[in-house]
Parts: sequence; C-alpha cells; structure tokens
Amino acid sequence: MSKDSTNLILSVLAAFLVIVGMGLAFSFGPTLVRDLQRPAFNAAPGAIVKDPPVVLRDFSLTDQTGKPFKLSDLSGKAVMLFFGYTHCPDYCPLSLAHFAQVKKTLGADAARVAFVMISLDGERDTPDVLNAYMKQFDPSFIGLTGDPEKVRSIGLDYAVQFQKQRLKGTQAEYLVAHTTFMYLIDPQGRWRIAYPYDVPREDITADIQRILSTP
Amino acid sequence: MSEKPTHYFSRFKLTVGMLIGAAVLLTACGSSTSATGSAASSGNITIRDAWVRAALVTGDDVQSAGYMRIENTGSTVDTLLSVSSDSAGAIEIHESKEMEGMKGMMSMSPLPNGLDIPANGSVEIKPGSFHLMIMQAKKELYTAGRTVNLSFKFKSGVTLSLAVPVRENK
Repeated sequence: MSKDSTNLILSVLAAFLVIVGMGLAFSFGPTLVRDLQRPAFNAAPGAIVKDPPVVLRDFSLTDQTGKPFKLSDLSGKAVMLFFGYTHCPDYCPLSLAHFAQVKKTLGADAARVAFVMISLDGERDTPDVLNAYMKQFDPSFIGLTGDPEKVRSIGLDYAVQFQKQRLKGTQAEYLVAHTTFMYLIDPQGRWRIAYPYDVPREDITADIQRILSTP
Repeated sequence: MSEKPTHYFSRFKLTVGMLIGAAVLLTACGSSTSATGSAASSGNITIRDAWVRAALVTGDDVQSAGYMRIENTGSTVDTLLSVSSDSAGAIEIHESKEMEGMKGMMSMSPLPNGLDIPANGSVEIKPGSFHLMIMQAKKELYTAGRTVNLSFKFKSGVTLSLAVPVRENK
C-alpha cells in the first residue's frame, strides 16, 4: 500500500475520532463534569446544603388519621419534608409528584424513607381532607396538620414563611403564598439539604441513597 | 510488506466501523423523544405542548392545572384573555412569583387582565412562571389518558380550541 493511501486512511480515522470524541463529550460531558464537581452533597443548582447539618427541634402535629404525630416518631428514617396545602394549584402537586417518583426509584430503600407534607392551611386541611389528598400520590405519604400559629413556629426552624392571601379576580376563597423548598432530613433527625421545586429528581434520589449508606 | 498494510487496513476498517457505530449509538442516546402534548394554531397564535394534570380532590374542590407554550408570530403583542372548558367550573390564568426578599417564597396571583404574549415571541406556561388554575374539575379530568377540550380567547379576536391530554402527576 502506498504512503499516500496510508496517510489518507489515517486522516479519515483522525476525523472520525474527532467526531466520536465530540459525541462522547456531548453525551457524557455534562454528567461527568457534574459528578466530578460533586463532593459530599452538591445537588442541583439552587439546592442548599446544610454543613454542618442542623439538629432539628422535635414537634408534634396531627396526622391524617387524627392522631398526634411527632418528628421524632420518624427517627431512624430519612425524611423528605415539604410545607404545602391541598388547595395549592402548582408547586405542591409538583413537589409531591417528585416525592412519588423518588420513592419509586428508591425501590427497596424507600422503606427507610418517610415522605411528609406539613399543611400551611390548618383551617381547611383537616385530617380527613389531608388523608384523601395524600392518598392520591402514595398511600404511605404522611400528611400533618395543626393550628397555623403552631405550624408557623415549626416553620421558623426551616426558614419557612407563609401568608394567606385573599385576592380579587379568583374564585379561590384564598391562596397561601409559601416557601416552596423540599427538605431532606437524615435518620438522626438533622436537616441536611433544602431543594428548590425544579431540582432534578435524580439528585434527590442520589442524596437520599448516600445519606442512607453513609450516616 | 504487502500483507501487513492490508491487515492494518482491515483492522482500521473494523475500528472505523465500530467508531461510526458508537457515534450513531451515542447520538441516538443524546436525543430524547417525548410526547409533549397537543398543539393548535389560528392566525398569529400557536399553542404547543398543552397538557393538564389529572385532577386532585382538595377538600371541597377538585382541582387541576394546565401547562403549555403560547407563540405569537404577529408584529404586535396579543393577550390571552380567558380559557374555558366544559370539563371545569372555572379556569383562571395565574402567575407564580417569588416574593421580594424572601427566597423560595412563592405567591400566586390571578391575571384578571390576561397574559401578554409578546410580538414575535412566546410565553411558557409552566411551574414557576404561569399556570392555568382549573377548579371544579369534572370527571373526565380525573383520569390520566383522557383528553379535555380547552378554548382560548385572545384580545386580537383569535379563538382557539384544542383537545388536551390529561396526564399523571409527574
């Protein structure tokens, strides 16, 4: 074979290598970079990692069966917590849909995780209302409710704020403006991460798995 | 002397073939196909990727929400004035906004004057920006997999009706 044809083959090969390299970079680059940049808990942009973790005060509210329920009842489990309300049109169904998908992805590990929503609308969200609502996402999800002022004081520990709003131009009796973060609490009852509503679900799942495997 | 290059040549061919195969495979993995909902156009307005969330029982109400993208190819701003459906008692256009100085605290407010769609532009109705708040949902909105008809009315006089898929809470 002549030198020229060898050179031609080599240049064609080089061109293909470049194309394949670009393909690889496009396909795996972003995830690879994210994984490399991800030390202990560097979830999605916007997620707040609590370092050191925040030891949470215990609290008692009423669950969807009408019984008293304490945060410490969940000790030994990781907890995904959200503050919302049943009449919430946008963020709450989205966050609970995140919970449901994360639970599915976790498989057997899900038995070691509790998914909880604390109602910011104690007025309308009675245990019965919460019971019917939470079941629509997953029968194991826990709904907690209580006096709004009590919930306000619990919320302070999570920097949660909420405000009832009666607005013109809507048939809704009122809406509740509220903080929309989701909180990951470890089995020792410590707040580890706060996630914004638009976090990739796989980041939540990965963090829960890591927390369950390395206490 | 003549055999060796041929050997390399065939090996090159094999390698190149494998690399092309890998490239094709990677390209295929990188692109995603998703059923993004329904679309319709009239005049300068196009609605794309429209879907509604399967309704949820919320105490005394049954609520749902609608999401889509609205495009305006006209040279003047148009305004979505109202949305209606036989499958719901009321549909309102709401805006979600982070309250000033309060990180992550979102407030919802109705847009009684409608939602502006900029000239040669588009607006995405999605969580975190806008949503259609659907109240008193009727039973066809309860189950994913069905479709409901939504009618949109714009300030320019454009009206649009489309069958929108009902989706799981996902």
